[in-house]
Amino acid sequence: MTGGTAEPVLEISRLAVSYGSKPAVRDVSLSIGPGEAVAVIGSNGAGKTSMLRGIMGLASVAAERLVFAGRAIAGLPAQRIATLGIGYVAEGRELFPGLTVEEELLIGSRKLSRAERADRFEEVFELFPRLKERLGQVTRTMSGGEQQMLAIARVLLRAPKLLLLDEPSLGLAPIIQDAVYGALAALRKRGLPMLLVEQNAFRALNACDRAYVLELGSITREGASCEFLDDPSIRAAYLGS
Amino acid sequence: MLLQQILNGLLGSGIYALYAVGFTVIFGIMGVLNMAHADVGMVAAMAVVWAVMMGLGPIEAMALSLAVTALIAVVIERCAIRPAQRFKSDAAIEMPLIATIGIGMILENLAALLLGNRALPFPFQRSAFLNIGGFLVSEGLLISAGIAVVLLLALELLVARTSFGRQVRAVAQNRNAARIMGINPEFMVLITVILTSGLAGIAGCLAGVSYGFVAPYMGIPYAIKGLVAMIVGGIGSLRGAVLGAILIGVVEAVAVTYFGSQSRDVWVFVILMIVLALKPTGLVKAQGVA
Amino acid sequence: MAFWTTILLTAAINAIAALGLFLQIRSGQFNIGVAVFVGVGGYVSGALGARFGLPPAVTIPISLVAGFLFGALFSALTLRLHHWFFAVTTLALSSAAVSGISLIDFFGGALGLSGVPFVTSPVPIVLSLLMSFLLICLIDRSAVGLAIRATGDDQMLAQIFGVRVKLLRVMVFGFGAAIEALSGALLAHRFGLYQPTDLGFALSLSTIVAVMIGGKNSVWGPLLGTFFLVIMPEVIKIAPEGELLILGTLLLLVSMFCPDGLTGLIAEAVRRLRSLGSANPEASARPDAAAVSEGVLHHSKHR
Repeated sequence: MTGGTAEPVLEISRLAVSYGSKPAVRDVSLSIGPGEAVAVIGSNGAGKTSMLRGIMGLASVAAERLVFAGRAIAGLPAQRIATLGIGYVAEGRELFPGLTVEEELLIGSRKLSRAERADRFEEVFELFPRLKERLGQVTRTMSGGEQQMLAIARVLLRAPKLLLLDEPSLGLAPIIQDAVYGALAALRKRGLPMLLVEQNAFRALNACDRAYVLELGSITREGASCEFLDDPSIRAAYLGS
Repeated sequence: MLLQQILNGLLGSGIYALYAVGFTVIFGIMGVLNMAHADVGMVAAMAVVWAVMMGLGPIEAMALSLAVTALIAVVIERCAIRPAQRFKSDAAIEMPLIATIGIGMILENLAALLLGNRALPFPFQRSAFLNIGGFLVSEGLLISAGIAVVLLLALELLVARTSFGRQVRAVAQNRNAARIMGINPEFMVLITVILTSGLAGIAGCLAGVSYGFVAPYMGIPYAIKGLVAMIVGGIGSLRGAVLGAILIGVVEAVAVTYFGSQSRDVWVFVILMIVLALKPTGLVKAQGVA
Repeated sequence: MAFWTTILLTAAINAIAALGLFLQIRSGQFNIGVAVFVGVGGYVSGALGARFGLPPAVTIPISLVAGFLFGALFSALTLRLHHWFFAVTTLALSSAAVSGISLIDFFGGALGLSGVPFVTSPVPIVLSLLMSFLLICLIDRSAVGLAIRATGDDQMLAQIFGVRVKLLRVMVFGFGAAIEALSGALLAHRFGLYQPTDLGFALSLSTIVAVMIGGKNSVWGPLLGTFFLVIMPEVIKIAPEGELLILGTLLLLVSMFCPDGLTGLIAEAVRRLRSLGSANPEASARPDAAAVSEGVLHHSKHR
């Protein structure tokens, strides 16, 4: 279930992230094993986004250990971390507002040969058929759901070894959330490790094997998703029942 | 007569367009106005003059000119553009403005000290006049307009169709998103500055070819016209910059015939004020370099 | 001694223009065409004196009003522009002015204005400098000064905190232009003439460099900078191009390494010394844009 003998994809020990002098994440330790989908839940402002940004190199970090696929990545610039194989799907998607869907995908696949690109495009269109219809559309005119799919798609084209997702359900209608999470489930089946951060704890827990609770910048609990789903205190705090 | 003037203005606007496009691209990708941009053109032209004076042939002169241009571009990027990142809000805008003004002053006055504060004849000038369809056309202007058109088309293709161009636009539109897609924004900015400086260098040499001479402070009027063309055309739009350049070139040429060459700079200002009053966002709308 | 008096008086006149520019930059309006507004003062006061024989005591105040109006008008027309685009228009204005003024016969055409009545006494110059300095000091320390800084730092934020940004910009730019015009009028009456090229970049650039080197965040900055710039060429004798080369280099270095100029360096040194003595280093932290804007709100509430 967890790691075991295989080397973890992501290993974090005592991560701290701060913006200037303000600490957003104080002490986070977690690990993601091969093929694992891990959720991090917590209330607003707990530091979930900052944690992901820190891992991705978009914010300044201090950590005892921040290792991805055997490489220490603390302090590396974000583009280097992206090239090493972490695919980051940001909160708010962070697309290029003036580019078309096709151009976004081309950027994602720019290192590939013609043939490889065609193959990867097919895979991505299988997951998100909507995108194939919208190739010429400028991203800022797309709906939230379509943008979310594109944000995931363009990162998938780079065949990442780990997916970081920040609030993929944010601002989306339940039906669209279903579609997005359906795609994530398919990816999970293929064995793509992912770190999923969500305020919508129900979705996150159902989509992942294990979960952590992040509050006020520190990890307070850790366990299997099914445990959390049954735990009354978790239910009360994050699942609204 | 009027048509002749319009034609002259049209041809002359090629050089303005090359500068305007350079200003636009740098501003689009970095939000920075490079006030030394036109002075780079002057330096490139001066380098050619100097090279020929030292006995070098045209190819070597061009190579030297390109090398000098690229070197200055790197200096500008390091000293003026890159540091702007560490400032916040409006202070981030002022610092490169002032720094590039400083660099411009250095380039102008170095040139004046080294080669004299006067107009120097440009070795490859083409000031002969051709008769085409009843119109008198300066050979040099025709060449520069032609080269300008080719370069502008190439730039448009580069930006719109190639992977490199996509990456430049990506960095211009969302720096962080570019990073998470594995693009190094600092590197892209550097390459862009070098590229646009190359365009400026060519523009400077074309001015020498068309008008027959170059001078240390010749960059200043070109900078003004290039910047005004950019604003008038719509900030961030390449097509707008070209449109703005054509507008300025044509109005200038026509007005000068009726109001005298002294009024040249007045008209540039008037165009700017009118467009600002009527359509403050410029003639063409664009999103982060288009 | 008389040699140094001449130099210092010229410096004093330039310092007045630098003070006007300082105010304008404070409000976020970077005026690359300072010389034009200086020229308004020089040409208006000079022409009224040369053409109509009016005494300087009359023409100088008129030129101040002219400067204010011209500045306010220009600012009003360019309100939509921020920072650099504003700077670009001042650039265009500058080159247009040099050409344009030579077309007007009333102002002497291409040869310039001559026959301007002389004012030989240094008293008006010194008085003007003192008055301008005191005035700008007062403004800077008042609630208005805070509002000006807030506008210059972050216009949108200032608006959120209740600053009437448009009115402020126009008034401040006009006022700065009036002070610049004062400088120009004094120049015209000192040298008896004014020429189109005086509206060009030489004067503008040296004024900008003076304010930047001295420090754009302190009222002492323009003074320090101007006097530094005036002393320098007297100490190192070089061609004007060489002088401009050094000015350009100084400008670049200042913007790269000490954007707050000499006064900034001094203030930083004082701050460091203070925090060494006091127990709380946070007390000497620099206010940021938000804090400045909040200060505006606070100040205006507690009147």
